[in-house]
Amino acid sequence: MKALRIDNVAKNFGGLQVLRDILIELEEGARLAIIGPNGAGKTTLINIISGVLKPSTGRIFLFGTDVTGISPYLRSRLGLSRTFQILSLFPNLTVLESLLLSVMPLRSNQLSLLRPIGMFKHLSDISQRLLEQVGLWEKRGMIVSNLSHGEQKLVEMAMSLSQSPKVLLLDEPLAGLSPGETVLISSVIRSLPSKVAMIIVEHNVDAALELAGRVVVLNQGMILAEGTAEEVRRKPEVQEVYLGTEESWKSWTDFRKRRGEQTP
Amino acid sequence: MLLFLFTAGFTLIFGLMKIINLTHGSYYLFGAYFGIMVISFVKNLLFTAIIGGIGIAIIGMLMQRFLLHRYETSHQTQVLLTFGFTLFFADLALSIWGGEPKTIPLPHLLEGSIRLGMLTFPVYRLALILIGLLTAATLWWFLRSKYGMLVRAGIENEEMTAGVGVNISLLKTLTFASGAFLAGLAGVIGGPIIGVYPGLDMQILLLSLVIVIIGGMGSLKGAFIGSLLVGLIDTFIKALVPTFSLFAIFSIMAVTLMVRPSGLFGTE
Amino acid sequence: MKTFIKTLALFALLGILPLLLPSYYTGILIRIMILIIFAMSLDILMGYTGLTPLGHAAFFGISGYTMALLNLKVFHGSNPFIGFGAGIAAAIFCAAILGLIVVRAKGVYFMMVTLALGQMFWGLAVKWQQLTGGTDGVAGISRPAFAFISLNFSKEINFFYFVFVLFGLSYLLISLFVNSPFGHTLIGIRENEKKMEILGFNIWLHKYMAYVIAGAFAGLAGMLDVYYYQFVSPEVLDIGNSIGALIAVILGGSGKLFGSVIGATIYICLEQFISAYTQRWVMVVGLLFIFVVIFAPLGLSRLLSAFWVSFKKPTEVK
Repeated sequence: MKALRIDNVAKNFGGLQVLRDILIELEEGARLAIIGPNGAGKTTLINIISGVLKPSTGRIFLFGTDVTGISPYLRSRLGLSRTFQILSLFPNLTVLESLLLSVMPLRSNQLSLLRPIGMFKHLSDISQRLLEQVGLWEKRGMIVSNLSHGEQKLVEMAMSLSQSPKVLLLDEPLAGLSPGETVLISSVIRSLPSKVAMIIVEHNVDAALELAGRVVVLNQGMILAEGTAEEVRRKPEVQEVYLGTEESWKSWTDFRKRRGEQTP
Repeated sequence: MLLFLFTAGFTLIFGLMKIINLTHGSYYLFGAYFGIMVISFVKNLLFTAIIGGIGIAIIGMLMQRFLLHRYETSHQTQVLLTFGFTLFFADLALSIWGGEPKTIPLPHLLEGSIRLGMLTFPVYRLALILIGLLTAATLWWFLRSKYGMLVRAGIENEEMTAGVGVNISLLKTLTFASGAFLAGLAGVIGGPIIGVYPGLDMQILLLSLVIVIIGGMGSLKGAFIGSLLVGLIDTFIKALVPTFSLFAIFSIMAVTLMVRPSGLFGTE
Repeated sequence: MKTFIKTLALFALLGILPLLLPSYYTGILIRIMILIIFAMSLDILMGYTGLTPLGHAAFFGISGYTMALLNLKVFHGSNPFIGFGAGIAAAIFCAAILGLIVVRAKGVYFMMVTLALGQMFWGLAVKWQQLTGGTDGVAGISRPAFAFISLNFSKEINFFYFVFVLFGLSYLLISLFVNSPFGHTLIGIRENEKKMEILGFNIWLHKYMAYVIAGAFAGLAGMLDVYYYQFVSPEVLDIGNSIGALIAVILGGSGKLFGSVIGATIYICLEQFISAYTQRWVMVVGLLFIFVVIFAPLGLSRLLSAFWVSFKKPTEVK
């Protein structure tokens, strides 16, 4: 059974057709990148998958269950988790406190009134594991607003993992990061548990291609190409959409070689 | 109708400026006391009302300019601050004017009552209704006018509007002052009917809050309809079961909150 | 552990004080303790859940009145403990009902609605003369007495220990409450309600329970207050009373229980001090409130702890 199946989804806002004929399947533990130029419909698609928006037509299946009409919160209980481009954190709490909160809902008696939270060891154990996964355990006592942007993204990621999702949607995880932070976050994404299926929506084409096994390229609301990273890279339609023609692609790669940067 | 004048001022300040001013009640109170003082000199109610209104407007301007405009973003701070001022003003009034209730005498012209069909109405109340309607009309027209839009634009996006050359700060102060003016005016005009006494500020503020909750916080229409509703029900219940008049009104407020938390015409 | 010992020490100190100081101070200490309970109940909502009720005195007064009226009119002073139980029950009952209406309101709406409701109860107390005696209030309430221990609570110092025990219990319960998962959830709600919703918490239920619990403790404070003065009048329901608690919380620092302790102590001491010089205490309270809101919105306890932290070296966080 596929972890996630997006079945003939289309979305229009009034007269504006934003998505069309979207058919994507995701295996368990697979890593998929969705790329495409601005306005291609990536964010809309993610919103539909996570339940923030309803598709105009088509259905979403999570491990065989039709979740098309179900709210984001219920989807998260079914194993679908997502990060947001605009971080929504607890700025004045510490990293550990934030994680404890995100770990609580499924695992403890929320309404437990009298026993101090320190006594719930399993909560702190899980929080520790999550924080170690993203490399923030040492910084657990720091106030979230004092962290760097990249570290805050890691907190967000840890929190989204707290519900032990089987499918994780990462919405522009590398946006707004410095090169150093990009490397950090990329390596964290790579090291996430292999049984978690992931969809990464990214602007940073290079990074996305490196993190994912398969790629879907969206353009103007439709799937332009899909396949492995290598296959997609070489497709002329893709290059054209991103980079103009093959010639400009060549001069661009030359330009980057001269700057000493890696080229695909 | 009196309630409307008062509430309209409050809504003006809130709807346009997004400032919650609990001191509005004190404005009314002071307006009324002020009116009492002045009328012994001026002998003309209308004139006194206007002077009273202006006096309060000045106080309002001072408050806004120097204090409130720093806390435009934090509703909670505004509420707490103006709350504190209410206490302060209430006690100040007590110390200056004492605890005895006072009234303003009715102007000769408007004394007595007329018969409309089967019912007799005191002339003064009719005059009040007229003033209320007039104010409502003026405000409504005003808000649609260029000025109103400027203020609204200024609230939405202060930098842009200022960049276009509009003196937002002045506009804000003027708007606030207008709201305060209405309260002070209402205070004087209400003098002959309700009189003035300690605690009036809270009472009228309270009713106003209920109106605003029922009618919706930013909406003048809501203030109008809300005032009518509350005024009617209040009079009605007072005639039947006086002890529970407040209770009845609050029940309606409670119901509104449960059914439609942003009020009938709320903008929030 | 350290804070526990420090708190215990302070409690012990408080317990001995009335034996050391002249009896005039016993009354003040009692009033401080009562205000602390009231302030803590407010802080549960303000500092921990992020809701600021302006009419909290409603619960303070409802329990007081219920107890007083039952005490005098039904039992004629014979069984004060039923009055005690009934008072708290009344406060909880009202909080449960009001909570249903009120907890759905957000932010400023919440403040305004609670203000309106609080004043409604005040108005009721004033107008319903047959029941409450209007502004004259209800007098002649006797303090509870344990029949089996022949402790006479009319003696101030015995009453002090009665309040002291209840105060200690309240502080203990509220501390436990605040450190529990429930308490942490409230903090989360205060910090980022939307996120908490996404994470899967039942926001409404948490707010509601916090409201009822806060109402219960406010009710407790209210009853102790009526026992102390042996008199109740509409003033206990008035905003002035709510503001007193608000000042105590804000002054001392919301979000930290000990802040209520500091704030309440300062407030009562100020009141004692200033009332000796002028009748215009209310005006001063208003000004004080304004002052505190402008200059010390985070309260003194935050100021103090920030001060303290700057002295210590950064240590390993446990």
